[in-house]
Formats: sequence, C-alpha cells, structure tokens
Amino acid sequence: MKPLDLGTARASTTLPAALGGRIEPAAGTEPLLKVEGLSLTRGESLILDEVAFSLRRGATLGLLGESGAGKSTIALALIGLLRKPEVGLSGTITLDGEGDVVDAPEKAWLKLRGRRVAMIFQDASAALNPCFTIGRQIMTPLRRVLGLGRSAARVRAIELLESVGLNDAPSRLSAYPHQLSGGMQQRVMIAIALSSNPDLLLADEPTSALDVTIQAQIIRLILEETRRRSASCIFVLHDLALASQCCDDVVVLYGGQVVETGPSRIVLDAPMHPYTQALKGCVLEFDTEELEPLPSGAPSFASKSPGCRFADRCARALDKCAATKPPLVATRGRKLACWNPLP
Amino acid sequence: MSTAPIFRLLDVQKAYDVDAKGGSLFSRAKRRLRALDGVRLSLAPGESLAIVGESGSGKTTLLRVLLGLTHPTDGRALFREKDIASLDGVDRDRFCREVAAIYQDARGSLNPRMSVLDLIAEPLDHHKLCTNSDRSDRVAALMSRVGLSPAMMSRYVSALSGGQLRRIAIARALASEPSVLVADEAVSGLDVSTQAQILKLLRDLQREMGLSLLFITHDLGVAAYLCDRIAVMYLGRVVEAGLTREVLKAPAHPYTRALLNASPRFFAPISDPLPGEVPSPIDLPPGCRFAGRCVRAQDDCQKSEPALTPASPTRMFACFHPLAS
Ligand SMILES: Nc1ncnc2c1ncn2[C@@H]1O[C@H](COP(=O)(O)OP(=O)(O)OP(=O)(O)O)[C@@H](O)[C@H]1O
Ligand SMILES: Nc1ncnc2c1ncn2[C@@H]1O[C@H](COP(=O)(O)OP(=O)(O)O)[C@@H](O)[C@H]1O
Ligand code: SF4
Ligand code: SF4
Ligand SMILES: [Mg+2]
Ligand SMILES: [Mg+2]
Repeated sequence: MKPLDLGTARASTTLPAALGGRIEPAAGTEPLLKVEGLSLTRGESLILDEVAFSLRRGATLGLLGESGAGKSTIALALIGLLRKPEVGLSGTITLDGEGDVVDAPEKAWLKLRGRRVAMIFQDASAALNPCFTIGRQIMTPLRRVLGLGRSAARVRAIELLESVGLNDAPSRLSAYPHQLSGGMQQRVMIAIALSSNPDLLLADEPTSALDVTIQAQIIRLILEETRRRSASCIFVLHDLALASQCCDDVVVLYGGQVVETGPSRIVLDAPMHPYTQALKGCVLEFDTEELEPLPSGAPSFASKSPGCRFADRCARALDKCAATKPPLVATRGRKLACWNPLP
Repeated sequence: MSTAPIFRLLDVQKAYDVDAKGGSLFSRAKRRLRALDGVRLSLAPGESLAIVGESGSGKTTLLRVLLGLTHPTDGRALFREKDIASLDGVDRDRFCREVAAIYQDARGSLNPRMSVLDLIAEPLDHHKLCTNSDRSDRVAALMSRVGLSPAMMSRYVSALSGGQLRRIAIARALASEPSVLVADEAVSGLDVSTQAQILKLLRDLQREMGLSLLFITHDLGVAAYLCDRIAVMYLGRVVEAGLTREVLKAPAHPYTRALLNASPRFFAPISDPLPGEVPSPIDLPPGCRFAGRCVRAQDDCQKSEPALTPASPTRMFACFHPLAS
C-alpha cells in the first residue's frame, strides 16, 4: 500500500485502520458532538428510544443496523430536519460551540447546515438537481454560505472538483448530472458537502448504489478529505465488514434502540450482543462457506412494549427479556444492552 | 440427464451502432459499441457459474443473449447445442420451460395488478402444468418452498417487502420446473440480513433440485458463496475464468486482483483503489483493454490484445503479465 498523501493533515490527527494509521483516540480532544436521550415518537410508536452516543473531533462513527433501525432518522435529526415541536423529538444534540441544537429554530439551522454539518445521500442522482449544471450546484452554496464572488467561487469550485478526483474539472462545470456516472455524481456531492468546510459530515449509505471498486475510491476519498480538514464523519452503513474498515467507533441499532456501541475493533471483532453477532453472521467475505441468516422479522416500535425489542428473533432470549428492557451498561470496553450477552 | 452443456457461447459479439459523441448534424458518423466482444463460456447441467465485473462490463447484455432477448451480431449462442436465435416449435417451448430468470428489479418485474397467487401461477398456466383444482395447492407448495407463508397468496405487490418480493420472483421462476436459473444482481439492494436469507435459499434450492445456476453479481462474496465456477468480465470480454475458490485464492489477472482488493473485509486496510472507471466500449485503443487502469501494464500490453488462454485444466486468463500464484 502506498502511503497516503494527506497534504495539510495535522500531525496529531489519528487515522482509522483503513488508512494504515492508529485507531487510538486523539488524547484530550473534546467531543464534537454529543447525543443524549434522543427519542422520537410518532403516534403510538417510539421510533428512536433514548439514543445516546458521542463523537470526537476528527473521528469517524458508523451507525449500523438493518433497514428500519432508525439510522437515517438519526441522521436527519443531526442535520436539523426533524425538530420539535412539529415532531415528537426529545433529548439533546450538543454540537461543540453551539450548545444544544435540538431545539434550535430553522433560522439558526440555516446557519449550521452546510457550515457546520453537511450531508451526502445514498442516491447522488436523486440529490443533484437534474436541471442545473454541476457548476451552478457547487457554486451556489459557495456564494451563499461563504459569500464568495462569482469568479472566486468558480476558482474554488474547480479546486474542490479536482480535490475529489474529477479530472477535467473546468469543463465539468458546464456538465449536467446525467452526463456523469454514479461514482462521479457521488464525487460531486462530496465536493458540495465539503465546500463550506463543515466540522461534521453525515454520509447515509454513500456507496450502496456503486460497484465495490468505486466504493473503495469514495470511502477513501471521504476519509482523506475529512481528515485533511480535521472534520468528523458519521457513516450510515449496513455492511459490518466495511464499517470495520472505515469507522473508529460504531453504534449498533435495533428498532430505534442502541444495543451495542464502542470502538469498532472491539465491538465488531468480538460482538457481545446477539444482534451484532447475528449481523456479523450475515456478512459474506470471499471465503465465507456458511451463512447463518437471522430469522426474518421486524422490531415492534410500540412505545408500550416493555422488554428487549430483539427478543422474538433472539436465540439467547430468557424469560425476563420480553418483560424488562435491558439497560445500556459499560461492559468489557463497550456499552451493551442485553440480559444474556455472548461470553 | 445428458452432460452436454446447457448453454454454450462461442465468441459471442454484440455490437450496437451509436451516434458519435459531438458529431455535427452533417457528420453524424455512427460508431460501433461492443457490449460483448468475443465471449466464450459454457454451463453444464447442475453447475453454478458466477459472472462478475463492474457495471458496464456487459453482464446484463450477456444475460439478454442467453435468454434470447437479443441476438449476437457475431459468434453463436447455443442452448443444448442449438442456436438460441433460431429455436422454434418444441425447442422453443422447451427453452421457455427449462430456462427461468430472476431480475434485479423484483418490484418492477412483477405486475402490480396481479395477486401473489396469480403471479406464481402464471408460468403454471402458461405451460399447462396444473389443473384448476390443484392450482392453489401448487402455488402454496411453491410458496412454502421459498419460505413464504401461503396465507400471503391474496396480497398484492404493493403490500410486500423487498425480501418477500425476491422470494416471489424465485417461486415464479421455479414454477415451470426449470433446469437452469439465470439471475441478474438478484440480491443487490437488499439488507444484509435479507440478502443472507435469499442467498441461503438459492444455494439450498440449487443443490437440492440439481439446478444449473448462472448468477450475475458484482459482489465477489456472493459469487464465492453461491457458485463453483466464476468468469470475470471486463469491457465485454471474459478476462479470467475458473473454479471460484482457486481464482479468488490466487487470481492471475490484475483486474481480478483489483476486484478482490476492493471487496470489504473485516479490519483489512482499504487498499489503494483501482484508479478510474470502466471506459466506454466505443473505439477501444489497440492492445489489452485493461491497460489504462492496470498497475502491471508494460509496453507490449498496448500493442496486441491478450487472448483468453488455458493455464491449467481449470483456469483461463487473458494477460501477458499475470500475477504469480
Ligand atoms: N414519518 C414517519 N412516520 C412513521 N414512521 C416513520 C417515519 N419515519 C420513519 N419511520 C419509521 O422509523 C423507522 C426507522 O426508519 P429509518 O428510515 O431511520 O431507518 P433506516 O435505519 O435508515 O433504514 P434503511 O437502512 O432502510 O435506510 C422505520 O420503521 C420507519 O418506517
Ligand atoms: N441497447 C443498447 N444500445 C447501446 N449500448 C448499449 C445497449 N445496451 C447496453 N449497452 C452498452 O453496453 C455496455 C455493457 O452494458 P451492460 O451489459 O448493461 O453492462 P452491465 O450489466 O455489466 O453493467 C455498456 O457500455 C452499455 O452502455
Ligand atoms: S436481552 Fe434477551 S432477547 Fe434481548 S438480545 Fe439479550 S438475550 Fe436476546
Ligand atoms: S495484459 Fe498487460 S495491461 Fe492487460 S491486464 Fe495483463 S499486465 Fe495488465
Ligand atoms: Mg436509511
Ligand atoms: Mg447490469
């Protein structure tokens, strides 16, 4: 593996395993983001139930779980698109230097979005406007958010497109999204998201529509560019092997509850929660001989159901599991919510 | 059952005439786009073959040729040693019954106005494989076979999850009692847990019913789990083929190696990715078509195109400077 050219990366920045660096947290760094007791109710359903995690500056975090686990809902809350009182959101989201933003009005979020928190979506072709050129879509936020003039914005746009590996950047400015491949569209989305130097980048399954080769390019690009800026990144993923390669920490969600969380090299190497273990058993590497798929089923979001939401699919369930919800407690280097964890 | 191959492709080429990019109104020169450019492969009874490669490598075009939905512009595509393009009468009926397809877009390929019962019974009716009295029993049996509750029979597509739809597509494919299943990206876009269930189902069905399986995927883990043999495609050509286990353990072609490096693996560093994307198959330069992205390319690679050559009884590749095993 060639050493990475990280350009202006700070010497103190640590790199995840993916980039051949150490995984240890940068000592003494303040958390950039702290989520506590985040709950979302919709009628009788509790879509998020007391979700809590924190993220250090410069670190990457993975939100993992099956479809419907609440990963995208958390991402939307983090970018201020789900706010009380319109929706039943409670808890706190503390962003370094801004205080609790869960209650911030739209006016305040207009300043935060883009500048401090930016997002890239799974389907870049749907996120880009098909009617506008790439140049217009990347220059508009540069002018609006950073207040650059037309020619300065153009110069910066070309730099950004080059930094995300788009060759022939000046001529790409006049291209329309449909003239680019899926991988190139995702590069443009990354350039737009990074254009105002956010501290936190949210990437909701940024590569699930792409080939593995392009996936590797895009994940590396996101890691390199966020590290270069000392920004933090939250990946929404459901491939645990990929998460182990690109996340410092992981949060495993089931039915809107955090079931296991901690450093990825601990949680994903030796899961203690039966659900994390089961998800790991679904991953195919190219030498996997046997699969042990989870029985199909979906969690109940009923706010009144008292016990562990995974109980009806869990091979290790005890009598008390369906009756009492297990608390999230620190156990062997991670936090875990289970009455009968793996040894 | 005979052991003669079910499918055989002999140097199949599929070319399209496309408008040249940037051509003016007066010079609307047509250019040749070779989606398939000399593909040679075969599928024997009971065998499972994975076709892998990045998007744009010609996998879907290959499947369309095998299903007789499009015909080669050169070379021959044979089903039980007869040209697929000219099958007629009993041969055509036999082909339709024996070859069943599962597509990537399960929701789009199933008629939303038909109930699950009618969707699965359609091939039964078409091939007159059941009487009116045992129609719903046959459908119920097929549903149980793919892990669906027969109670779902009266539902419509809109009320089903992605995983349930894939199971219905599989039940429908099995209804005509086929000997070959061909599937295009049949598990992509599914949740890991649903994907694992469907893959296990497909492998069990293939083994228990002695089906031949041709499975198109861009996921090497899926290929390795399901298929004994693998063919790696790049820009319309097979560049390496052999026993899946051998090929993935010690790839000879630099492209296979690059695909392997890019596949997620627990705690492995994300390696230097393969640079660039699959180029357009229009006006390829002479020489090896992978040369522009290949880390091992040398001068001779630009001069002539390496042919797919057997290196052992179970392995073929097309490269002048293969990786040592
Ligand atoms: N506005 C809403 N009203 C009711 N239920 C909702 C609403 N939004 C989300 N949900 C439910 O909340 C749960 C979590 O949804 P979310 O989209 O966050 O899942 P996800 O983990 O991102 O899944 P995927 O992997 O499919 O993207 C799901 O059961 C979903 O149906
Ligand atoms: N009907 C068509 N007309 C012109 N070009 C086509 C047509 N069908 C496919 N192609 C081209 O052929 C190449 C291979 O396509 P395809 O078989 O769909 O690849 P894959 O399934 O591996 O992604 C691509 O460059 C594609 O754009
Ligand atoms: S609490 Fe009980 S049901 Fe829930 S995961 Fe643990 S053992 Fe399984
Ligand atoms: S023939 Fe040359 S360019 Fe082509 S794959 Fe082999 S080494 Fe690379
Ligand atoms: Mg989502
Ligand atoms: Mg295709």
